Amino acid sequence: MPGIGEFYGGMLHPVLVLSHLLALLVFALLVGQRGVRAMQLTYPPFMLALCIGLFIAGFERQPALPNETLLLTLAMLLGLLVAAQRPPPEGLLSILGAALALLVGMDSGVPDLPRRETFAALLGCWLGATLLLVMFAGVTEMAQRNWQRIAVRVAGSWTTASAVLVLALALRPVA
Amino acid sequence: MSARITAFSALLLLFSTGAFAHESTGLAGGFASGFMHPLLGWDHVAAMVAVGLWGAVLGKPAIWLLPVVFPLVMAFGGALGVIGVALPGVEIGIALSALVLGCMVLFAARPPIWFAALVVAIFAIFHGHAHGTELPHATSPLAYSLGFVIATGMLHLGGILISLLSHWPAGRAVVRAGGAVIALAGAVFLLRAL
Repeated sequence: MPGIGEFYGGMLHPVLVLSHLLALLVFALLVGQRGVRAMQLTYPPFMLALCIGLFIAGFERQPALPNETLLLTLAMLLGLLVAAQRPPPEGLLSILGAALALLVGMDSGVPDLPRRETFAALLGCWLGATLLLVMFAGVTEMAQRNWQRIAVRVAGSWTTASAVLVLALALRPVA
Repeated sequence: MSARITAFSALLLLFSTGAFAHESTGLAGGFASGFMHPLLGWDHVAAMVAVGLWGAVLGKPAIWLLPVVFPLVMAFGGALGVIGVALPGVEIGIALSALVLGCMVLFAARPPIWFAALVVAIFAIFHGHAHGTELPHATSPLAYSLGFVIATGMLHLGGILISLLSHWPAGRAVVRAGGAVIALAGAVFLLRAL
């Protein structure tokens, strides 16, 4: 994004790439539904995996993966769990979070930039994605009233619906 | 006093027109066109509001179960549309949804929850299919899909909010009259579709 610098551009990256935003948001909803202990257990592997993913992206060594399809598949499954209000056990949640963070990180590369700017952009992206997770999981955990819990489930349902449609588009047979 | 000023200011927003200094492209265009798709078709609007109204007539847990389940089943219908699976009589199905759901509200029908969910789910497939066929032409398919899913949810919420009137005896008559209007509109849509 011109004018705001590489660090802030990187920070906004998870918000501006819709598939990243959707997957991160729905993961945050799931962590928030599970509660404070889940936050304590899922944040460290998430942050570490995001760091590794961004490191791989920084050196442009990403494997050729259909990142958007994988992220949307993950968002669809996590959205279903949110809609059903059935968060998985903390261990599985940590693994899912780490996988999500790795995918987001590897998909956030910034080609053709000097080393210093690349580092600033990737650091910004790491901070942006982490803040997004922490803030939305925190808000979800605080939403304890019945209508608020239902609103969270509706958001999960909407995420799954959007992901299903775009996945259908991505996987449809080419005429 | 400040609450009144806030409410008045919020009301003024409803009468504002868009600024056309910037053309909607990319994400904005995709989201905006997806968001407007259910709102610009009266058949969609009528049926979605009826889902919200009927959910409220049925009470708990239907009032929240239908808005959670509807988008999921609608997405299934949308996926059929995206991958090109033809669904016969989509327009007839959509018109019937307004007619049937309007009648359910009019007569304050309270069938078992599984039956209500089944009826709504069948109609959701038709609505989803109609939206889904537009998806491949969208500027940003993900933004478009989010837009139309959110707009659909907002219409459900509108129906649920209107049904809050049913806490009063006169309000119950208003809600049932709303059902009658939707059913009538559904009959007109059906005549046009046939």
